Amino acid sequence: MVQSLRMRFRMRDSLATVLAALALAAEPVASQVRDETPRIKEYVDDTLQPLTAAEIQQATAVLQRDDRAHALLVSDQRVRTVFIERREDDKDVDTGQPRADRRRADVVLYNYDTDETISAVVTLGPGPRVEHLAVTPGQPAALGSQEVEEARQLALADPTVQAGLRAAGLLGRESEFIITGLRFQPAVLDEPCSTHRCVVLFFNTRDSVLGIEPIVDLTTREVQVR
Amino acid sequence: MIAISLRLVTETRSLIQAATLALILFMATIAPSAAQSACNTISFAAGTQWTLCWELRLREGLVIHRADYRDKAGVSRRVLYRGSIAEVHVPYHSGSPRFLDVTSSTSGLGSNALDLDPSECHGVLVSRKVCREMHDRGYAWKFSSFFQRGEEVTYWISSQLGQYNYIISWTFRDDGSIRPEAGLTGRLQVVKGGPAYAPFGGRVNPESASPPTFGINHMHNIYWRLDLDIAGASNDAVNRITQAVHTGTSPDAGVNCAIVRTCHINLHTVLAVESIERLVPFKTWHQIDKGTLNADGRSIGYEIIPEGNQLWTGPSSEPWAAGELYVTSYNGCELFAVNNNNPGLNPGCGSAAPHVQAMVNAQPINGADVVLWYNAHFLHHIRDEDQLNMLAHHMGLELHPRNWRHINTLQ
Repeated sequence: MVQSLRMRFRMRDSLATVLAALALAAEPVASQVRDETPRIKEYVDDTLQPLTAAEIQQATAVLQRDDRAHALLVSDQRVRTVFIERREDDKDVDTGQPRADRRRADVVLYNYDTDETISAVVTLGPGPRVEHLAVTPGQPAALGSQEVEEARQLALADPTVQAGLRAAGLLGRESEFIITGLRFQPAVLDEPCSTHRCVVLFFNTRDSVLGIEPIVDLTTREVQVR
Repeated sequence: MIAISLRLVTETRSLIQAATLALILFMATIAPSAAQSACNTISFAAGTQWTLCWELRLREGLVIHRADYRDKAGVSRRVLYRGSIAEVHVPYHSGSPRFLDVTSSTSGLGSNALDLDPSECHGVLVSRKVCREMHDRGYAWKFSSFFQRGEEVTYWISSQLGQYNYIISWTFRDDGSIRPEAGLTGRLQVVKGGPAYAPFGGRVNPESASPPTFGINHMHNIYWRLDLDIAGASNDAVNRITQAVHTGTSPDAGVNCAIVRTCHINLHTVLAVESIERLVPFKTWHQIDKGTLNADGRSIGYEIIPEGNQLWTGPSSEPWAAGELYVTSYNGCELFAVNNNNPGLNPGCGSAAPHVQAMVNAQPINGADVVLWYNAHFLHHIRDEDQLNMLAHHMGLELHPRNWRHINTLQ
């Protein structure tokens, strides 16, 4: 029962980050923008095309099939996607072009339960495979957009943050304030955030800095307002 | 009974594991992907042309790929294979924080690129986040009543990194010059109260107020990684030009350099191996292609023109902050000035050099494929104009064609 509740809680949390990520994923491609400047012509370089949704899906499917990755991911653990991005090929110095005409993906995940970063290079297209897989203890991975969004949602649900927003007349009026964030890495090494993944958020309106600066410990999911 | 319970538990666990994996992979399939790219041929009124591609990458932001310049005579050559920002290092005077905005303190310049409103782009929004503008840039040259006005094309994004907003731009001019630039604006990131902060910052509340509040002074150290492939990737060389007072003889009759001390010569040093370069004494650098000569027999190249830097070096714990120009040989795993071998940033490159200083390891560069890393500094000494919002400060460098032709590139 406890496990079931914990699972539901985690799935609900994950859903929030998934929805946030959806908003970021819907990007128009440049070719959809009409170029009204006659002296500027568009052309396509296939080697630079960002990963398509199908390629991202293939990268994750290949990772799923990889025995080593499977062992790392199949468990009731809180894993977040840090980023998935097209991997650039090395330059062929003789031709001045990318060395190979191939599609690859860099995939970085962070496991909050084991405090490990999982990074992979996945070859896409025909004969896809996990070319490289590394598991690194600690939090070397930079923040991912999903994590920043998760921090934002945790802060907005925090009673002290809500009290601050209420005092400013902004509680429940999210469209009227702006939240910015940075990774919080304290100078004092015995603070939890020196070993956890933490984000400090700054609340603003168009005309002012509100002075609400919650530090969100994503590892413990706790919010501290200073 | 026990066996049935165990089987049930095992099956339930398998279901939970399968559900979790499905969730992780579902999240992965729709992971944030702000990546975009496009390529353009830009033809200027002067008859010159740039051909280039841009890409929005999550960490480095706006990256330029394979920029070729065609001069007025119609000769087209590769200039830049890849240009990017390799780090934004912002150490505060009170000792902390010391942000590394590209590699660890944020999710990156591209991840944090804002959607732009059409009203803020005086050109074409080539994506929701990238603006392209054609500008008249004033005189390209003028003599007496004769003149030619110049044009340029600029690609830019706006990245919100905490309270700061970085306007990252790449400008390509009709004369072949390139300007990578960062505009710093937004709101003050670190504001502290109490008289103890007085030596470290600038007062931001009224002098009569108590306690005093200070915006903490800080540096912006921006690293541009410039993989110049002038007329091809290989056979590059970098020439360091140092201006020195000349006390020897002068070719001009009546000038005694030893007495007047107004004579200067430029000392040319072709760098043999990878190098960390300082801006002082007065220097500039030429990257040339050793195999391509202009009509007058001189090697073609580009000059790296530094801009009014406040010189700064970091402590021993920040060894990457040791110079203004790092000259390295090409390595596809060397993309970031700091945290370069972090597997959570640069997968598959765990054995690469950790930072740009470590990339300088005596490999020969004379005749190699050279990569330049330019570190521009700006001391942000807090002023009242930083409130609210902070007036933008622009910093960068210039890359000018040098001996590209035997005459002006626009003629």
